[in-house]
Amino acid sequence: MRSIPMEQLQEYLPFLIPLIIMEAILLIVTLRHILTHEHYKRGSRTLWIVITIVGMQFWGPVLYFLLGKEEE
Amino acid sequence: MHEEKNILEVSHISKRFGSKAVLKDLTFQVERHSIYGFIGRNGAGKTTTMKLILGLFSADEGQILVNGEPVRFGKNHTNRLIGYLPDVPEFYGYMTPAEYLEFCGELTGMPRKKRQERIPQMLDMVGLSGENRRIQGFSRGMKQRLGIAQALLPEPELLICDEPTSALDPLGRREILEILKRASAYTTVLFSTHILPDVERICDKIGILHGGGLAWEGTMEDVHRMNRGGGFLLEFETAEEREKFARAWQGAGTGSFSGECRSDSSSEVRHLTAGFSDASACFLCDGDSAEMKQAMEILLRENLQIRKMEKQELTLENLFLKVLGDDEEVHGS
Amino acid sequence: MRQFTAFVKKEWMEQVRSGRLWLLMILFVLFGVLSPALAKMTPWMFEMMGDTLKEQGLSIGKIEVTAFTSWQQYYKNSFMLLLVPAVLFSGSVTGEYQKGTLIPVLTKGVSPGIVIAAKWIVQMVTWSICYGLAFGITWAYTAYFWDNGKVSHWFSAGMCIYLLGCWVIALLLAGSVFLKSGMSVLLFAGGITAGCYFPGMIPQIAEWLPTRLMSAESLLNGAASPEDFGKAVLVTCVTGILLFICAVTGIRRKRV
Repeated sequence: MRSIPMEQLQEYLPFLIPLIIMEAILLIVTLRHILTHEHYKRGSRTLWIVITIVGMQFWGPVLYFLLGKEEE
Repeated sequence: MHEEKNILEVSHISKRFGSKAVLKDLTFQVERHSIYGFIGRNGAGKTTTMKLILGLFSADEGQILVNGEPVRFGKNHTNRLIGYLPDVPEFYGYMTPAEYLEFCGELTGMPRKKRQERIPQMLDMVGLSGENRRIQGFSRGMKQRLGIAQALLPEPELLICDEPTSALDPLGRREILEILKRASAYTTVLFSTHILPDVERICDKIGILHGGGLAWEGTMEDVHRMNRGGGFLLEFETAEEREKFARAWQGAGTGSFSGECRSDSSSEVRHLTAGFSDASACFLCDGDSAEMKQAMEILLRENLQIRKMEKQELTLENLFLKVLGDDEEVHGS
Repeated sequence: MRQFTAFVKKEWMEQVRSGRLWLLMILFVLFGVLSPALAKMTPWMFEMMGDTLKEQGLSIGKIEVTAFTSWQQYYKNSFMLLLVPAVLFSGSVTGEYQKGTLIPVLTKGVSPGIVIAAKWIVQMVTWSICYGLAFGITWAYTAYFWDNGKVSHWFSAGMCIYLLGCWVIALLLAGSVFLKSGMSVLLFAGGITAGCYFPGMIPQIAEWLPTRLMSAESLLNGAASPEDFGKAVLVTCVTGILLFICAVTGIRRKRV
């Protein structure tokens, strides 16, 4: 597999920086929410942590907030 | 504002859900500055009546007047006069109690200055001042107290509470009743319950809802007045002994004393002895201490043994059972 | 009016404190960044694939990435852009009826129609902010790397999806009048949209349907002109307003 040359990486930086920041925020917020709540609408804590990390691009946290987050 | 004598007038209300008639020709009035206790079994129609008063349900027949104004379903104009505490109050969990009351104050159009003055007062009254947690972590009792605060905040003419004490421990119940008692100084309280001691403690007037209508209505004084001459109950070892006594008692009735046989194994006796004794061995006599003496003489003369002799206080509970019992007999026949 | 503003404040607080607003904003920023990023990565990905393909004897010509590629990626996501807010908004009314949080509000003399109107305005503002974010970010990246001027009607195309989102919000509120749970409201809205799909196969009908707006992508390369969407826009606006009116007036009959 060919690696991406340095100058090309630089070209991607305008994307990479906001993407990484947003995804990191989403990941941290989701994990924090999972760990500070005991009950979920469905599923268990381990399940949701796995889903969140596996789908960390964004669909993991989305699934959690849509399907797993307990109603207040 | 124009003030009617009766803050609430419910006349000839009927309501059915599907084929089940919940209320049949229900009529009652609530006077200003009184505490009206609304008693009935679960499913008797207490909540339905309240929701009709609030215009949340539409009545099939009849009319409800709040301070002389008719209640219309879907148009909740009269609700500005009413404060309501639901049986299981639910609030927005992401607010603190103070924020929730602020929201309620804005909804009812309370000026900012009034809100700033009244909200801390209300929180203080229900013992939630300094509570900065969000409502989602509240216990049932705390929600109940916040419920009273939000209901009383706009200074309603009529406060309606649906089973305010039923899910609480004795201490919590007493607190709620104290709050209601205090509130009755400046408002009218209508509350439903199936816990009779609560009613005895604070109510001025009582209505027993049964079979879709008001089965009995009266003041606490009426209950106390009926207390005199509640009769006494004799419990024998066997039904045969009871029969023997009953004959002697009826024979004696023709003589000097007035105590009459009120009931033998009627539903009333069954209710009074419910679950504790064999009703067929019990005998209920009418009368006072003079008649009790007579009964004792009969017992001696006939050489009868008894398990116990008990003076009957006509408490609210007995009244309640009596009302429901009479009704069951009607249905049974 | 004071009841309305009080309820709008409450709704906004709910969006913020429940984290719904932040979740939507983060997702829409991601959507906005991803479209031009994918476009930018396209040649590189083809190069990667090209290596394997060359071994199999296939060769691919040079891929030219333009502003058009970036916008194309954006409209590929348009279904997600509509679905995510729809899911988050679907339980807003029914949830309050299920939990009973509306009882203290309604028994204070607030008309249910006001509740619906307040929810509508807050959802519209939320949707506008989020959509603006995704659209604006894609626009900015595309302008930085390529030239938006080369793409025709990029703004009209964006407005089509935005308008469809507004219509979905009204549809969800109207569904909440007679349905009990958020899930059924969502299914109702999905059903209506799917119901538009089959008559939409006949071109004469298709141009009148709100779902026509989903194909806004065809504006970009000039395959369609904004006038072609006129009828669909008109129908969407009219039915959207009607749905909103139905929701506001119909909710009065809903049993608490």
